[in-house]
Amino acid sequence: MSLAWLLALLSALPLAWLAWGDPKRLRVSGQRQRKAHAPKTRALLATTALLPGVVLLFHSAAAVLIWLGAVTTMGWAISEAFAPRRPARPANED
Amino acid sequence: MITLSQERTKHLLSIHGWSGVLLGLLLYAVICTGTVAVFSTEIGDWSNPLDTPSEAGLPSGINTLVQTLADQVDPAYREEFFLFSSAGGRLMLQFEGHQPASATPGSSEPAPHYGVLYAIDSNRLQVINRVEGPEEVLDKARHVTDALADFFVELHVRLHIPSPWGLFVTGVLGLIMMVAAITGFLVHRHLIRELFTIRRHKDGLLRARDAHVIAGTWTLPFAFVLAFTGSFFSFATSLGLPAMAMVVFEGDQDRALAEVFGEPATIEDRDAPVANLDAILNDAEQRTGVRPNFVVGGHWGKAGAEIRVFTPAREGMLTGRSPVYAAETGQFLRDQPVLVGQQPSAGNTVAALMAPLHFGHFAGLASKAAWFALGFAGAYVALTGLLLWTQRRAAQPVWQRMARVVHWVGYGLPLSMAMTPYGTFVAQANGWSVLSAQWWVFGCGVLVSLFIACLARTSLHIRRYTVALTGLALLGLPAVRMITGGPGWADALSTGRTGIAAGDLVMLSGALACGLLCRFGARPADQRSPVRAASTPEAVV
Repeated sequence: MSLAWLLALLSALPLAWLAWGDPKRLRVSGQRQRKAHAPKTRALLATTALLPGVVLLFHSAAAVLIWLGAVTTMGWAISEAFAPRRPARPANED
Repeated sequence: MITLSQERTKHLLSIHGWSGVLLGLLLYAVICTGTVAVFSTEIGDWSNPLDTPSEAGLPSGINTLVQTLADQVDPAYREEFFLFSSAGGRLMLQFEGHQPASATPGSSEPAPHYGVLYAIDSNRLQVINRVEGPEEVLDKARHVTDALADFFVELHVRLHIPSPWGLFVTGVLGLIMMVAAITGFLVHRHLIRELFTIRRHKDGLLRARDAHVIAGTWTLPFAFVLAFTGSFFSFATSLGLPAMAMVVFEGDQDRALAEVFGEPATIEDRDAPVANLDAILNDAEQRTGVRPNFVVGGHWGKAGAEIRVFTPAREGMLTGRSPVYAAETGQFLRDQPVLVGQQPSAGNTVAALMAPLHFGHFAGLASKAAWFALGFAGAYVALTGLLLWTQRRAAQPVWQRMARVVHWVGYGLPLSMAMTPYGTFVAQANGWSVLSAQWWVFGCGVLVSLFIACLARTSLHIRRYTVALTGLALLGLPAVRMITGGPGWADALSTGRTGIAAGDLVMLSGALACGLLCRFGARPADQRSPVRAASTPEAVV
């Protein structure tokens, strides 16, 4: 079942990239100078993040559950980690 | 995004908030203790270990000992027997039966349940404790062996409220969590768009709202699943079965039980030897691919009796299996569904899924770690929701007081839980009542945090002091465990009891996390008065 955790860590990479260039996150943190991901890139990253879970569907239901639990908590951790502590420049409230 | 009218959103938000705030603190307590209870087996092994490492499942070579002990037991106590693993690799063997009915003329009191409980060192196959008495005495003896884990499990399952009321309360809390999850999902307009949006640099209210919403969004599906399965467990035996017996079986609970769990075996009126238990366990292991961890049977030594073996989930599976054997010959009879009926059914499949989905114990530490993380997130969502609610109303004195109560429970409960093992270790070392000692120490934690909540100037002070004390409590646990007679790391590792050192490391990591939260979290200097708490930046957790 370590495979499920390993694939969850793999899913966390595109998730982190997705968060890094998330347009709303960049807007509210005042990082407007940074280019946000285009919709196509975001869709691609989201699909890549979900891909390990789809692969695990062919392995076992137990592995999928572990992967899903791990990915959702990692997603939350990524959101917290990328939350701006102070604005890069004065930003308008979204 | 779900489009709702402003009016409907307002109503749903009220339902979401009030459903949480009315019983939110109890819900938070249930989630917190449930999160810790995910590791109940490991907590038992860490807090009350034997000299040798525990095996996964029932050990081999137990037949002779079990047969010898069964021969010594009063025949009246051989109506039922159970064999299962407990803390530190102990094997528990329990024989139960009924004492003769009350001799008082005209008394309708049911015959009391009596029995004998043996605690066995599973490696040396030696009896280390024997307790005889009524059911309550046996229950207590079982709890003493696994005292620390049971303390958290009981707090999670029924908040230590006597049955069935405790189960009703936790069942209702599960329903409230479901309502909160569904309404939260409906009122959140930008579920996907705001998945990474936490405005920590903005004012306290916005930051608190984001902290609550984002954690809730990510863990929403599991919050619903955990709430549903938790409610199922609370209501299934306390309400569901009696209600079904009343409606379908005219109140006859025995008939209802037979229908749901299968007809009991037909016992003949002659004695018969019991087949080799090791052979039965080995056969079950061969059939299921996993070493059994629980054995139950009835009418030991009588012809027609059956022995039912339970195995945990095999690698990749969610549920275990339960083969049944003839006690006299040891012959395999059938593969019985784990929960409902005697034939495979959709009802059994659904009911059997409840346990793995709620406990997360289907794949050992890998699944437990995921479920612990989900539980932690759930506790965070509950606490941040309560803090957000009080923060929004901080101008009103009654909600200011409520904010103090939320901080007291929110940060005081982890402190009390971190202090509880001190009672376990000291009581075990001195031969005191472990169950009482745990309550005393837990109560001290509650009082200390209450004292802080009453005297601290601001909510941030409450948080800072209680988190610091929690860190200190966790930091001291490994040392106190060793001082009170627990094995040191070298001893534990050399004998293969790695779980003990791992448990200590978890405590030290928890202490480090508390230290970091105190060091880098919001400081009381940011918050000068309780009234200003609503408008000044305030970290939520």
